[in-house]
Amino acid sequence: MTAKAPASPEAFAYVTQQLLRQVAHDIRSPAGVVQNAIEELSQRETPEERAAMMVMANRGVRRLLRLADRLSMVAELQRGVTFDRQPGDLRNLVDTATEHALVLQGRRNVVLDRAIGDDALSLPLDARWLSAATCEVVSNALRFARSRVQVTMRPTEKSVELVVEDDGPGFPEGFDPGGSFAPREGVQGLGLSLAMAIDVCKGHAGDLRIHRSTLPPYRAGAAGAAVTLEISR
Amino acid sequence: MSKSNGRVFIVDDDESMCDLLSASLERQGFGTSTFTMPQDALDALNAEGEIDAVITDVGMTEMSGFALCERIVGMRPGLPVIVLTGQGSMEAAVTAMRVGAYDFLTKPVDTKVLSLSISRAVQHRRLQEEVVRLRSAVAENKKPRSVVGSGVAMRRVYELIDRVAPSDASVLIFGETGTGKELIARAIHNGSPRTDKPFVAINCAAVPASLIESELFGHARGAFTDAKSERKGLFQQASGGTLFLDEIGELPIDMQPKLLRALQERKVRPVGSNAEIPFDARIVAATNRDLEAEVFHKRFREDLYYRINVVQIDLPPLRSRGQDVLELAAHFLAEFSRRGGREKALVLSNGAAEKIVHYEWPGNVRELENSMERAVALARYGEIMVDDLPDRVRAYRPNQFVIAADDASEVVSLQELERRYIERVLKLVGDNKSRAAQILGVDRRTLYRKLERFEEEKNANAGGMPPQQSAPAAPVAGTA
Repeated sequence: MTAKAPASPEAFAYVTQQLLRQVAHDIRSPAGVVQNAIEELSQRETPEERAAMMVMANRGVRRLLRLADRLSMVAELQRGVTFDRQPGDLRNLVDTATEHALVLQGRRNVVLDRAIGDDALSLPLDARWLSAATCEVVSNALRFARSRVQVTMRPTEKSVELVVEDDGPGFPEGFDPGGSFAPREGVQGLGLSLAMAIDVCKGHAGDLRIHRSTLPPYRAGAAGAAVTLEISR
Repeated sequence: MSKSNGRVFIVDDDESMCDLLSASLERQGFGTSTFTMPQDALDALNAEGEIDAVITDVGMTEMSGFALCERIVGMRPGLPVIVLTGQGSMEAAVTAMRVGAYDFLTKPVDTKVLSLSISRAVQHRRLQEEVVRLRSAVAENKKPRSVVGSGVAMRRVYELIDRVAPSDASVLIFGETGTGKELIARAIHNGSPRTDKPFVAINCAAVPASLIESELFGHARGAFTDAKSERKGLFQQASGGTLFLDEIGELPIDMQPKLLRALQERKVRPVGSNAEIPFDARIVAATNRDLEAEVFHKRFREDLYYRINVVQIDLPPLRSRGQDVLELAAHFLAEFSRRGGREKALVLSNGAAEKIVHYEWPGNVRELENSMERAVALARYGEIMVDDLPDRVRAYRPNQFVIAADDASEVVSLQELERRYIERVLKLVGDNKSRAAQILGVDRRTLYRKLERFEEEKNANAGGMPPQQSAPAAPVAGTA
C-alpha cells in the first residue's frame, strides 16, 4: 500500500520551509544537551555524577538519531512507501517502542502505565514503520503529559486498537490531525508524528483517531489528549 | 561563590536541559528551580517572592516560551526573562524582544555566556529594585519624617507648612533643641516647587566664625592661604532650591550685615572676589534662641530678624504636645524593634508610659528617640518596663507649683511662686515670650528683666540640684 505526499506544490514548499526550521530547532536542543553534558562531565568528580552526565549525553545523541530517522521516513513517505506486512508480535513491538519513547522523552514526574497484556499478539505488520509510529505517538504523549501516560491495547475480532492517553493540555479546538502540517501558534511541532502515524495506520488497513483522554485531568475543565491507532488483523 | 548570586527559574520541557543548566548555574553560585511545564513555573512565581531571573525555552508543548515571557513580564514587571531558542532567526529574536525578554540566546547555549547574561540580568533587577527603594525613600522623605504626632499643636504646624511651602517666603522655625527643626525645613522644601532642586543645610553654630563667610558665599582662588581653588558657596550650591540656616541665632554679629545684604540684594560676593553672583535660593532659618530677646539685647540685628522672619513656625516642645509623646514613643519603638530584627514591635508597659508622659523631655524628640533606642536595646520582655528607661526619666518628679498647700513646709515665697508661675506659662506657650507676656499681663521688656533676674539667681545658686528634682511632688493644684 502506498501513502501519498501532500497535494499542492505550494503546500509542499510551505511544509518544507516549516520542516527545515523545525529540524534546525530539533537539532539544536539535543545538541545543546550533548554539548552541555560534555562540559559538565569535565567538572564532575564522582563516578555517579559522571555516569549521570553520560546518560544525558547519550539521550541527546539518541534524540538526534531519531530525528535523522524521522527525516528519512518523511522523505520516504513523500516518495511513496510500500508497507511490507509480515506476521509479528504486536505486544512485543509496543513494549519495545514505548521503552524507546521513555528513553527519549521520559520525565521524572511522568508515569507511563502499560495495559498491553502479557501474551503475544500476532498479526501482519510492518515492524519498522509501526514501531516508529508507536514510538512517535507515545513520545508526544510523554512530552505533553503532566503526570501520566497510559498505553492500552484492545484486541477486537477484526483489529487491534492501541490507545495512547495523556493528562496534558489536550488538542486545541478544531485540531485536525489530517491537516496537521499547519503550524499551531504557541505549540511546538508540525504534527509530523501524527501525520506519519496516520499513513502507517492506513498502510495497515486501519485508521488513526484523536479524542479526549479518559485520564483524570491535571486541572478542572481540562482534558488530556488520546490517540487511537487501529490496525487490522 | 554563594547562592547569593541570584535565584533563577529554568523552564524547559526537556528535562535533561533543565538538569544541565541547573547543575551548571548552581556551580556558578546561582540558586535554581527547574520546571518542565510553563504553568508550573507561573504557579511557583505566584507563590515565591524572591526570584531574580527566569530562563525559558521557546518551543514547549504546553505554552511557548514567548507566551510565558509575556505573562511573566505582565505578572512581575522588571523580572528579567532570558529566552533560549533552537531557532536562531531574526524573527524569533524580534518576537522575544517584543514580548519583553531581557535577552535572547540560541541553543546550544554556551553556559559561560548564559551565566554572564544571568549575572547582568540579576544585577539589572537589583538595580531596578534599588531605584524603586530609593524613589520610595525620596517620597517618604518628602513627608515630614519623624514629625510624628497628631495633637492639636502639631496639626497647626502641619497646616502652616502646607500653607507656606508653595510660596518663596522666608521662614523662621523656632523650637527648642531636639524638636525637629531641620525635618520641618525639609518638609517645607519638599512641599515647595523647589523640591527637585538641592536642599542645602548649614549649622551656623558648627562653623568657625572665620570660615562662615567663605562657607556661605564661597571664595575666589587665592582669597586666603588655603584657598587653592575657587569654591562655590552654599548660596550658589542651593541655587533653585532651599538654603537652611540652622542655629541662625549663633551667627556672629559681624557676619549678620553681610548676610542681610545678600538676602536683600539676592546676590553674594565670594571672599576675595569683586564680582557679585546672583542666587536663587529660598531661605529657611531655624533657631532655639529667642531672637526677639537677642534683638533686645543687641546680639541679633533687628533688620535681619525681620528679613528672615517673614513667616514664623513655632515648634512646640515635646512636654506641651500632650499625648503625642506616646505616639512618638510607639513610632520609635517600632522603628528600633525593626532595626533590631525583632519580629514584633516592643510596646510600652503602663508604668513606662506613665513615666514618659510625666517627664519634661528637655531634649525633646531627640531625647525621646535616644531613650527609646536604649530601651529597645535593654528590653528583656515584649514590653518596655520602667527599668528599661534612662535614670533621669525613671527618677523624674513633676515640678508643680503650689497655691493650695496645707502644710507650711510646702508653701513657697511670693518670688519663688512668681518664678514657677512664669516658667510654667513659658512652657505652656512653647517659650514664646510675646505670648507669655500677653498671658502674664506684662510687657515683653518686663518679662525679659524678670527672666534675667531668675537667671542671675540661678547662677548665684549654682551647685544646687536642678529645681525639677529638688523636692518631692507637692500637692497638685491648678497645674493648668
